[in-house]
Amino acid sequence: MKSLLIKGFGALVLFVGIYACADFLDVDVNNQLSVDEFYKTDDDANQATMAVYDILQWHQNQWGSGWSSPYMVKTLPSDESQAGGANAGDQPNYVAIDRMAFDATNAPIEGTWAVNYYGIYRANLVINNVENDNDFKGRLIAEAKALRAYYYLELASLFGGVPVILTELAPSEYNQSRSSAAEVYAQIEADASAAAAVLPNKSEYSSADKFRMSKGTAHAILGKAQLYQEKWSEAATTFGTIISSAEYGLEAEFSDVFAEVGELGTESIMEAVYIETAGYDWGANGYPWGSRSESNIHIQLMGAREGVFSGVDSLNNGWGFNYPSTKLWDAFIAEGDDVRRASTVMSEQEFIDAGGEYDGTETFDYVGFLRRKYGAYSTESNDDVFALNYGTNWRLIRYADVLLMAAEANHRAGNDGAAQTELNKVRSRVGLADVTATGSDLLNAIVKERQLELALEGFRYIDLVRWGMAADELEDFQTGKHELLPIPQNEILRASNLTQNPGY
Amino acid sequence: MNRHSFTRRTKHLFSLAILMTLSLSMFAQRNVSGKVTDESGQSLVGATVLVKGTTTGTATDINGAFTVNLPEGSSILEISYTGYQSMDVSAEGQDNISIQLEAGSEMLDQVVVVGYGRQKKSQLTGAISSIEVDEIQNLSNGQLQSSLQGRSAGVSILPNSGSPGSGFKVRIRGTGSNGNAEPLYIVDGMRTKNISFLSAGEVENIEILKDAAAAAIYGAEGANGVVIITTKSGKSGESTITYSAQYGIQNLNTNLQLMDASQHAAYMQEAGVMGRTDSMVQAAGINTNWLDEVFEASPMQNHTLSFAGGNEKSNYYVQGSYFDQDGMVVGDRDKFTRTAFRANINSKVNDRLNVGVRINYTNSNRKGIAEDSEFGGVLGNAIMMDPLTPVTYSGAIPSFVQDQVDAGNSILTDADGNVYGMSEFVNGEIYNPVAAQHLLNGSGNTTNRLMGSMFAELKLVEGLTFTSRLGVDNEYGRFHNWTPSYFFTATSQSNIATVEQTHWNNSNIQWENYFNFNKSFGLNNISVVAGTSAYSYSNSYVLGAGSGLIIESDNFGYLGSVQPGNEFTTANGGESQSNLLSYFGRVSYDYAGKYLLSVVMRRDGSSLLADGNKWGTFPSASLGWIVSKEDFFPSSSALNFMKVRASWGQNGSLANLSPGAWKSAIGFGNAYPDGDGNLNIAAEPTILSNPELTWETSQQLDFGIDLGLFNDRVALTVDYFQKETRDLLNQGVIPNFVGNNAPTVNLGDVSNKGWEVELTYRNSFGDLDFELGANMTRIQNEVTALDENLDFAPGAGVGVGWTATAFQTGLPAWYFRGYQTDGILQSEQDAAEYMAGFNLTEGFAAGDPIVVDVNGDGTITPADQTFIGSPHPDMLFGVRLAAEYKGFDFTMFMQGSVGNDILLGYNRTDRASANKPAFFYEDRWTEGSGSNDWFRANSDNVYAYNSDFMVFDGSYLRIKQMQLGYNFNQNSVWKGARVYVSLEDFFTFTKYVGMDPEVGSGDDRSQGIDRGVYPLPKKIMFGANLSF
Repeated sequence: MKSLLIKGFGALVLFVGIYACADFLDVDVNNQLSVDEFYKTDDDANQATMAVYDILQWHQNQWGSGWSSPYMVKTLPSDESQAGGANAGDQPNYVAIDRMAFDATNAPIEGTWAVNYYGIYRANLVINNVENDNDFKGRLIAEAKALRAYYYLELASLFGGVPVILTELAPSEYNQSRSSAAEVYAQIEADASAAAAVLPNKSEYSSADKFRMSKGTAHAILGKAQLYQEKWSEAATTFGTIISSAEYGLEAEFSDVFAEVGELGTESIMEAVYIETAGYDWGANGYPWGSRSESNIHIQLMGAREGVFSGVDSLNNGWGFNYPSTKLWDAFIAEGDDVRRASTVMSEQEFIDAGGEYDGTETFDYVGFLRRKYGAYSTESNDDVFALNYGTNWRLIRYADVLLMAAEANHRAGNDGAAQTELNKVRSRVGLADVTATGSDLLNAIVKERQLELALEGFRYIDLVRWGMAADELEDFQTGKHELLPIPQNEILRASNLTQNPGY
Repeated sequence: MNRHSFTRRTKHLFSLAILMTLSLSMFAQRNVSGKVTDESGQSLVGATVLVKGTTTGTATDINGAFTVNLPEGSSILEISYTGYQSMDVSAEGQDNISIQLEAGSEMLDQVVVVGYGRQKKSQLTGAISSIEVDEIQNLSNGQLQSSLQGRSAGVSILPNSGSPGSGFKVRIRGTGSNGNAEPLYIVDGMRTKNISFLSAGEVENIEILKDAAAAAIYGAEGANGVVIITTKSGKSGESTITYSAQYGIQNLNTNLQLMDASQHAAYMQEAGVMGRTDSMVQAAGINTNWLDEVFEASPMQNHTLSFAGGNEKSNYYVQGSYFDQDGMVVGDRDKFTRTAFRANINSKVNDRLNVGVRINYTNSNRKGIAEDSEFGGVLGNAIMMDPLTPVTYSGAIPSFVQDQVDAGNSILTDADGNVYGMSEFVNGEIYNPVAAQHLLNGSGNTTNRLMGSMFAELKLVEGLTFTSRLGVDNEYGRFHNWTPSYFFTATSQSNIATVEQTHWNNSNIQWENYFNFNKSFGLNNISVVAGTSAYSYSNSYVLGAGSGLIIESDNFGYLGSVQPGNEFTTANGGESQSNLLSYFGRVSYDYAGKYLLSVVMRRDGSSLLADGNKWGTFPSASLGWIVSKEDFFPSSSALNFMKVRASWGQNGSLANLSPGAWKSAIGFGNAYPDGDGNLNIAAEPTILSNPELTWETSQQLDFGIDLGLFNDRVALTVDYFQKETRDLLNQGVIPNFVGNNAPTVNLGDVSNKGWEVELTYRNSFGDLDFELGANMTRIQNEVTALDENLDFAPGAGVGVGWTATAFQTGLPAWYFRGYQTDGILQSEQDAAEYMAGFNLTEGFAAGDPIVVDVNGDGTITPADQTFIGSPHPDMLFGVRLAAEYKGFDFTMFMQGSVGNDILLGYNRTDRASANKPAFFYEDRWTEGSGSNDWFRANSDNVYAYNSDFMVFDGSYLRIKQMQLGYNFNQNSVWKGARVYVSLEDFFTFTKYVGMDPEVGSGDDRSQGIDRGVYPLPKKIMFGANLSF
């Protein structure tokens, strides 16, 4: 019995000994790397920079509930389009933006705010953590700065002064105050200038790298920031740098600008890249709802409502959001601008004439026009599950936009001749007569040209606001309120130092 | 009662206790004699007399007399006799004792399994419910949890679905978390989160540890209660072979009536939605009742064969079982089969050492349809699909279908080649639910699970044993499905076949070592448990998915048949592990079996948490007083037993923590395409860091009383509890300008308090034996704290753009949130005035709901959404009646809930022409009706569809089982055989007009949402049990 006892306790000692192994509770997590082990090598730095670009794709985010896309938030307040969808209850927040009935709880507005800050956070990580010890890393830091400038420009143009955050915040720093708009623009100019000094020209990038921020991109962001601040001559100079670099040109055919051939082409200065080969399906390889998908689901979202319309030539059906407005159609007709109209908007009659079917049902917010710019072209998706695989890139900055901004800056700076030159480059591509007007007529011509050239690209609302024309052009626009979007209510709840914009 | 005598007596007892402890060694060995009689003074022959804590003992002779040799240091005799209450008697200072046993005590004298030991039910100080296993042996359910439903107070068991093999939401004393609140299961000492491998036939007993004191021995895992399951062992002496078989037919059981074709057409016309006129409907002659088309009667069967036996040294229990249930949805796409084997062996190696093994192997296969979804769920679609579309086309197909064929889209056909009907009206994710079955091919979910453990019990010295148990629980699973190319609607279509194969393995290893020490010092009984537990859980998986099969058929529905070079093929895999190390101890003390005290302490360390936060301590204490053992307690048969209990304790829950949840780490899961279309890895910190992260902790107070009445013919237990769960894990809420996802933080408390009553009554009237069991639970659930940055945490979405549940301070967990309404606008003038009053220009017409401006801001906005209902019942109850007369037995078991709400969640405001329940049409407001019952014909008004109109009373009473059996006479050839017929889930009493009031959702945040649930089938079962 004694021996059993001893052996029993021997076993006890044994197991206590095994338990005492201190590392039993230290278990590594696989498929993850600690933050402090990262940002070291060239590959690390490149992957971290890709995360900054990746945010450009993040339109179908789901802050709050439902869809919260920056593209839609920039487009819907304008006079170019209608909210659309199944009915007013489909995406009520989009309807509210379209009708100028949004408030500070509007989830898409919150999503737009958030997504840009997510980009800024990732840019800060690259800028602050990557050591600038070789040219490659130096270039990546410059790319991150250009992207940070872009994200801040989006925020400043939509929300005014916002918190300028350049580091990773500790929880004790979460109650930030708003900087003034001037301070935000100063940061944008500093980042864009620093980036432009380092970044290569677009032509120096390989075809694979053409999506990256180039010297021209940084200049375009800088010039746009200067234009928005009404620093006319500085803006004109900056845009002049881009034009004289001869890095960019206009596509010969306007229809090519938004076709696949135009992607990252001669006219492209900055794009958000999507592909049609991600292979999303309705099964195991499902579309990553709310996440940063590799395909552009908005093309499906904006396709003509399925069940109401059925296909025509290469246009697929979609979910029927963001139909073009009558006003946009009328503007093309008034200008006799058939080339750009054909690639931007089509009437119901044109649709039917082309072999499309429309069942005649009243479909929500549809006023008789269907979209062709950013249209649901079957050629832009795969044949298998087209709804989920559109590869259409967002054209964020293109050369035609730069030419028109250069025209505007030159006009405002008193150089109407230079303004006409840049404006007429854009017009001559689509066979329109040169503008010879000067003074306010020239400005009106530039305004008209931007409306037609850049229709449905997300610039019109911001343009109208800065031109002081929003109250005249936009229904339900309240002066003194709708110049800026509201700071999201949730943000103010969580950081009480933030002040709300007027009128909200 | 005489207060003075009580106090004096207590004093006396304590001094006696001290004296006895000191004077243990003063006694020498001696003989004690006595006589055992029943209450009426009749001698009891053959009653066992044991010296407590030893194996020394004897039996009474024909006169009820005995003489026993009392060793040094012992003074307590344990007297027991079948059918009578056992009794401990002190032989202190007496050589001759008269002992009178009281009858009929089995309910309270039952031994129950507590963590790492056993206790007599009468000596318990914690709240523990035992399930009478006999009651559940002949239920038809394949899942053990469903057999537990309604059997015990404080335990809520909600089926996630009525489909074969589906899971349950088990809540012990309320929903104690915003996430996973499932209890911990202990099967033969092995812990597990999933008991789907067990069948009722192999279970010996089930104990549910409900209060903190009972569960505290499981520390960091016990916050949501513990269910202890012990499987059967053989008994020495008897060898038995038992075979039982069941066969049954399942049928649809629902109150749901959908609009028929003419109602649908009329409703849509009124609602202004494109559709058909009534005359077109008549002409077309199609009126499909999709519920009838989707469901069919289907069979199920269950077979169990077991062998049990043993001798003084060893015993064995060996069982094999087969369960097969075909679901009610047409075809064989919903099906569950389980084949299981068990071997339990115990052996005495010598006087000091017992060893044993418990081995279970289970193979199960579950195929299921898409459920619990208003986006493509088969049952959601059976509700929403319009009745104007046929299941298949009998003649020529319509031109709009032909157009799709011409366009090269993959139109599905049935086995006879008939093209499945496609709707002209509904679209998107709503399509033919009968055709939808074709999306599910392949073998479904198959799991092979081996749970085995080996233990050794070593008696070190008298009263002290050491137990070591080492076990593994290894679950290998695989999932396989392939989907052909198909076309239902422009949204729901794929021109390419897809396939997915996943293999996964959950592996648990557990090693526990503990000492049990039992000692009596006079009337002082002490029992101590102390030990350690090491537990390691690991999971690994490999997943492959591909598109484009060489040939679309079952033989080619594998990754090996993905077209070569197909760029859509994906592969994924991972492995994770978490470890838990625990030290535990329990001291139970009683004086004369009358004053009871138990203290438990457990210390846990978890690898899931950051350094500095890995360890936690969970204490508990409980007290009991068996008042009826006091001399002052009037001896009466009306109230023969009375115990009062109180307990307090803390427990943790690790269920919602995952490896690395606290840690900011670089994730490589995102990508960004370059100019050539190749993806570049995008790497970033996935979340911000929170090294402070810790487990959820629940603190619970319990007061209970146990009564035995009329010589224990009636047993009554009443408990009051207050359970506060703190540090709920929530996604942190931080300003978005911080720029990354907040980590999980410990912010949020939820409280559950309530009453539990359990009542049993047993009696015999001549040949009629009668038994009634009833239990009732009242629980109040309330969120008591949340992140101050958050008005409420948003929960589950319903349809498009509606967050229908929320977690908010002052309200029940995941309550229903929407517009509150106050009747119907009766005229256009009412509507105009209403809108003018709220500064609105559109959105309301006659027949629309009057929405209440809850926040009082003078207008109607989404911010007016508020509490519109709670999925938590106010009361749960279960009632069981059993009677035996001669060879016949009859059982009726009912179960139900009162006061819970159900949210009708299958209305899609963006799919205007979707079909709806018939009462939408029948009860609708029409001009001049003056009705406030229901809104006008309308398909998309958010104020109707996202409002309290969608909330219904979910109270129900269901007769879960009505069984009539016959036991063959002991003298017949069929001795020991029983045959029975049983109606299960057959009768339901409810006002709820949806599919099924009982069935819920598998999602924690969707409790009570009916997105087109799979109803529980009503079953008629035939069974036989044979013993050899």
